[in-house]
Amino acid sequence: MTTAAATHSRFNTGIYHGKLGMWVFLASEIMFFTGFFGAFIVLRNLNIEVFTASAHQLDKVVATINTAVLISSSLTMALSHVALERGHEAKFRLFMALTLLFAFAFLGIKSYEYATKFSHDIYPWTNTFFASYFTMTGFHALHVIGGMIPMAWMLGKSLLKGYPRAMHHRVETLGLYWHFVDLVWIFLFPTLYLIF
Amino acid sequence: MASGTSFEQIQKSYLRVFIALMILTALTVGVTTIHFGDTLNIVVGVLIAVFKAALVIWIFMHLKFDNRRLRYFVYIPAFFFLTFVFALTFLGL
Repeated sequence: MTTAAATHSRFNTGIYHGKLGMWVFLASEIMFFTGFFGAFIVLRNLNIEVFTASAHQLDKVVATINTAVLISSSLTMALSHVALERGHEAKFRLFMALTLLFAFAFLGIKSYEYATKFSHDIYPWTNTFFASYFTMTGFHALHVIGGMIPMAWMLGKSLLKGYPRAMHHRVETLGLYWHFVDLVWIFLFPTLYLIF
Repeated sequence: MASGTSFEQIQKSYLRVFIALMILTALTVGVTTIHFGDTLNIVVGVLIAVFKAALVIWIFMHLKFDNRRLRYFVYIPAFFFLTFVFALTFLGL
């Protein structure tokens, strides 16, 4: 099923290949989102009045709740990995299911936010602030969906055939990605909702 | 994570990180009601976000327990990210 190189720490790097691969990917992801933040700051400096007025139209309360939901999902993801690592498969399954549930809740709340904006005739083409807002939160939401697919896969496999303890590395690697998605939101939240 | 520690011990330490993240979230929302001035509000917002990010990376992403050289995967992109953000913000480019 798994080769030694995939699951055992390498003597030259001290970590297994999957983890190294994920960190390389995440480093590139940081630069991907840095581009958006850079564009946002430049546009803000050029249109400070538009940005301030538009940011005040966003719903801070809903965004704060969503931040709490995503931080909770990071906690349950971290717990689901330790549970499997220690051989508690039932707990692994429970925490993975909770993580998936929080991810669904996050997307549900985000959809509600988008729907409210659309009902007030606010769209990505309304102005440069909302163009940035929809692009940044949209790409973030795509990352959330991207994380939910392997979560559902792992949960399904665990329910149908059992998830081997020896494969806990995969959960750790997925966890790295998931915590990164949480990190992006930790920076998006003050940037879009709070600093104006 | 050290293999000698039990699931319950790790759960406890993760819960502490979680509570700290929630408090910092409340704090970052709370400080927006105080006006330090535009620039200082941005600095405070970014500093709290950096602190939250450090907690997530250090504990949830296991960087504290992994090979020290792995930390450069965070330090280097984070350095570029923060330099970029602060330069664009304060040089008014």
